[in-house]
Amino acid sequence: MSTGREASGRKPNVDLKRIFSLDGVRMSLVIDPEGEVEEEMGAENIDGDQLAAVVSFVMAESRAMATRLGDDQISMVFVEFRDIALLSLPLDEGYFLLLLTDPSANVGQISYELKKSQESAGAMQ
Amino acid sequence: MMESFPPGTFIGEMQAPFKWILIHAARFQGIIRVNASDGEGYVMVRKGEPMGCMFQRKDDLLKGKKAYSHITSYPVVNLSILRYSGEEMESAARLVQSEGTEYHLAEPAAISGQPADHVPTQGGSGKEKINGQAGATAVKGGSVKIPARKSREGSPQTVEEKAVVLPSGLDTENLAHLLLGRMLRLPGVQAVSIFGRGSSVLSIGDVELDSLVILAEDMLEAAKEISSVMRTGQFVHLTLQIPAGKVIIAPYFNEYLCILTSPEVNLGQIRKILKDIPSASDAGGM
Repeated sequence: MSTGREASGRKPNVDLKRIFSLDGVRMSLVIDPEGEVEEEMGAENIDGDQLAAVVSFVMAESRAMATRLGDDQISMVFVEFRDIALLSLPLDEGYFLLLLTDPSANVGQISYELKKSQESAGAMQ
Repeated sequence: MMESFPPGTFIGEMQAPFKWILIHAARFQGIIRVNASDGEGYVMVRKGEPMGCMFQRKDDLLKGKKAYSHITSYPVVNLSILRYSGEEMESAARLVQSEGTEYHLAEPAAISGQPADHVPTQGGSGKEKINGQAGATAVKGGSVKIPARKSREGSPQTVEEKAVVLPSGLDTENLAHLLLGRMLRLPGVQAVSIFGRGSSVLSIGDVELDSLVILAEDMLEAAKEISSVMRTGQFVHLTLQIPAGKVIIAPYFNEYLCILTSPEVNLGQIRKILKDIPSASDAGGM
């Protein structure tokens, strides 16, 4: 990764290992503001870079909807498919955290843990 | 006298082509209030058939088939649906007969005579509505009162009518049960819209969702791309959570639902309802 933000050393401090250990989580990624993978864990059969690019697009469209509704910030985006679910939370400085989970995973519990991470990631490195 | 009509049971408000509603109202009996860019009116319906019809257009009072023809000339109108019991239906039928707005009567001329087959213009203004308010309006040859309804001035009126494919047996009543009865009764659910191909087919609830449809479709298109980089299976739903609430987008047969909620809504209950919609997962995939 070589973004200007990274060059300034302001990266989110997320404990991916702890998040990855949550029940039902298959993959966890931190994605930078350019839509590239900053850090990832799990699911070796999935191309993190490609996934980061398309999910960045989902986040951008979601931001447009949030703005239209009068909110400049997104709390979470949750996309559920039959075989997998994706949860994405914005972090500071344009980064966001992405989790791939089993569709049957406890979304409430995971989102609670993600929010805790989101808060701790507020303190940038 | 529309104000003399039985109050009925309020089912919901929608934006749709009137004929579309009628096609899916095979078991419905009641009255459908109509609000268009140039006036207001009603159609009394029994088992999917119009029984009486009136439309007040400025100083023109259209009755019967002329009113029906005018209402159905709009690609989309604002509708407010009231279900009647058998007793209410009989009472309403007597009123329709006394007002001469029966659908099967010999065609009465419009009181001040403009033809009903004009092309409707986009948008409405208060001036075009009945005195700018709901309620009684005196006209030549009698007075007709239109039940109060929420104003939707400025709503788009020029959405093209499309063929909407819903499963057989799904009529207005079932639709109301599925969407209004179950979703809108959930605490926090503010509005539900059925949309597809960039336009809203139906919009129910207190919040105008039509302007969000294009953005919702953009979100869907973006979500589709996820399936291009990994095996996902069929799309189930997309939920955007913001501090002010949630926007939930999910397949609905060959269209999509857009549900707007306040923050406290129970997402699990919504997901359960989405899964309970018959055949939604079979017909609504991306």
